[in-house]
Amino acid sequence: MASAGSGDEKAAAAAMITLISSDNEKFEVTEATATLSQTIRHMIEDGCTDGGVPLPNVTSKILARVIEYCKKHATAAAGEEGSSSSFSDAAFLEVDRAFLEELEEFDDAFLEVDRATLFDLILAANYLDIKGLLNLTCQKVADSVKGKTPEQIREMYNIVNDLTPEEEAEIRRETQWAFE
Amino acid sequence: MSDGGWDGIPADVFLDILLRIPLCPRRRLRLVCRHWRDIIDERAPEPRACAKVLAFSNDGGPHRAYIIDDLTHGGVRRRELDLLHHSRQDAAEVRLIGTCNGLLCLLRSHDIAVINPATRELLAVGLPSACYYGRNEATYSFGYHPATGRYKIVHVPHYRAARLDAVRVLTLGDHGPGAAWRDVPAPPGSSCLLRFGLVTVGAGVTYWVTEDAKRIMSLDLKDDRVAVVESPPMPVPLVPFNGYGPEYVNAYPCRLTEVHGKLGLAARRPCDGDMSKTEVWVLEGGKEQEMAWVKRCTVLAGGAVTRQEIALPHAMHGEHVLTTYMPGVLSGRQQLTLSAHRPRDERKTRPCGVVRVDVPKPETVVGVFESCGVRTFAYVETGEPLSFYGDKLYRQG
Repeated sequence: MASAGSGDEKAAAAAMITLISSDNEKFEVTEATATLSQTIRHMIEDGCTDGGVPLPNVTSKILARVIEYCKKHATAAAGEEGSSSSFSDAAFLEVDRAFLEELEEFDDAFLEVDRATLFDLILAANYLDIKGLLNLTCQKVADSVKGKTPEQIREMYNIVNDLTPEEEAEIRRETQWAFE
Repeated sequence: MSDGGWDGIPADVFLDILLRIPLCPRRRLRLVCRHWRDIIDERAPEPRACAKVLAFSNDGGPHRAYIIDDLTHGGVRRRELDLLHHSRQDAAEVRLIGTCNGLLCLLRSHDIAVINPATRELLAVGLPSACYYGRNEATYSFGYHPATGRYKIVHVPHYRAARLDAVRVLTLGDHGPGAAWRDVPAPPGSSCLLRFGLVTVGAGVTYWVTEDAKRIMSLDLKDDRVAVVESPPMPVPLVPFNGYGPEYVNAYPCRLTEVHGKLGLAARRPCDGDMSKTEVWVLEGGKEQEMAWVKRCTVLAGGAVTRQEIALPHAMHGEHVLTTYMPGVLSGRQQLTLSAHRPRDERKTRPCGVVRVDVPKPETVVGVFESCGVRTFAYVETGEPLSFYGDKLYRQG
């Protein structure tokens, strides 16, 4: 029995992963949370997570937010898996809908960040390969560009217009493509 | 990490963001800077879209929309567009206000619907008023402003008015519940006579003719400003009243039209004998250059019984001039033929194409309709999602 107990302890210990941010802060997360990142999942599969996973591209501020996202979504995923066996179909759908609504609310609140943070989250989601987070943040940026004039977009993102008047005129002409 | 800007964003992620934006607004993003232009050109190019002619005809029943794929060889090859009707009443009463890129703006029995037949999406908006003019498609225009990327529906609440106080504008994507049509004030002295058309051209400006038929008024869809256009006098005098004398008979039809993204005027000249002569003029210049009417082509229709007219409101398509032909009641059939002609330069000194038409020839006929009236439009099939513009959206499977 002692060996079985130590096995459980081992499993429990192995289920925690240490992530190390670029400014050397350590974050303890469950494997379920960490593996929302395909990048970290591959590292775990390759067995190179002993002594923590250094993430030199992600600051502690951003990593904390990313972990917040992953925890929530890992819980949601686990809840879905767990609930399917213990509820009737109708009850399951009800729970499922409540979960999804809660998750949507969480996502909306999660995106209430300044522009620099949003871009940092995109970079982190891309680097860590977290599909859901990348999808969420990219859509947010696409929505922010929606309905804006090129001038407004330049102002919003401090972009310098390096098009010559001739190039601009050419693009404007081409934009009237519908009538040729 | 990033400096909160686009510079650090990897190209793949940038592309992911761009592909979430519909085609037309995305094309407009090429104006932001070189980097954006190059990425869109190289990684997210538009499909090789080419505008087709859309013929709206009632073929003895409800109105239908047909696409004519090829104008170059003649021959009747048309395909019908599904207008996504909900009910038989919709089908019976539907009128086409206009087209813009791949979207159709339909006036239906109880509302206005903007549809994309390619994606089978439909966006319904309320009528601006329940009165008679709200039910007349000639009082509407549908347009797109390329710089703002917004689609707008314009409504002039009179067919003919010596005093026009305001026009009404609805911007797609702007309307929450209830909020929809806005009044855009017209400056003192504004008037309208929609007999000569209400047309929105590629640059995002809607035009109509004043009540005395001497001037042109405009609504800029960018800043919603109504103004009298400082254009030179009409190249062909328009006759504001319907009458019975010969000078009136020949004055019809005259209409504002769009010619290659610019404001055009298709006008029938009073003419002697059996020949009728219709000219297509384009208002060139504007902004820095002085405005001038330039004659683009002349359609000469021969024969006392030939009833060949220029097609409206879309009269010129690429290199082609569109005409319609009705054999007349004597033939016993209501049959209308749509033809596409390539104008020829008959004079070297001043380039202006000339088209001579008579009884339709097989090599120029592009459509035959069991109908007494066909209106022509331009249509580009696009996958542009309508969901971008509003939430009162229906999709049909």
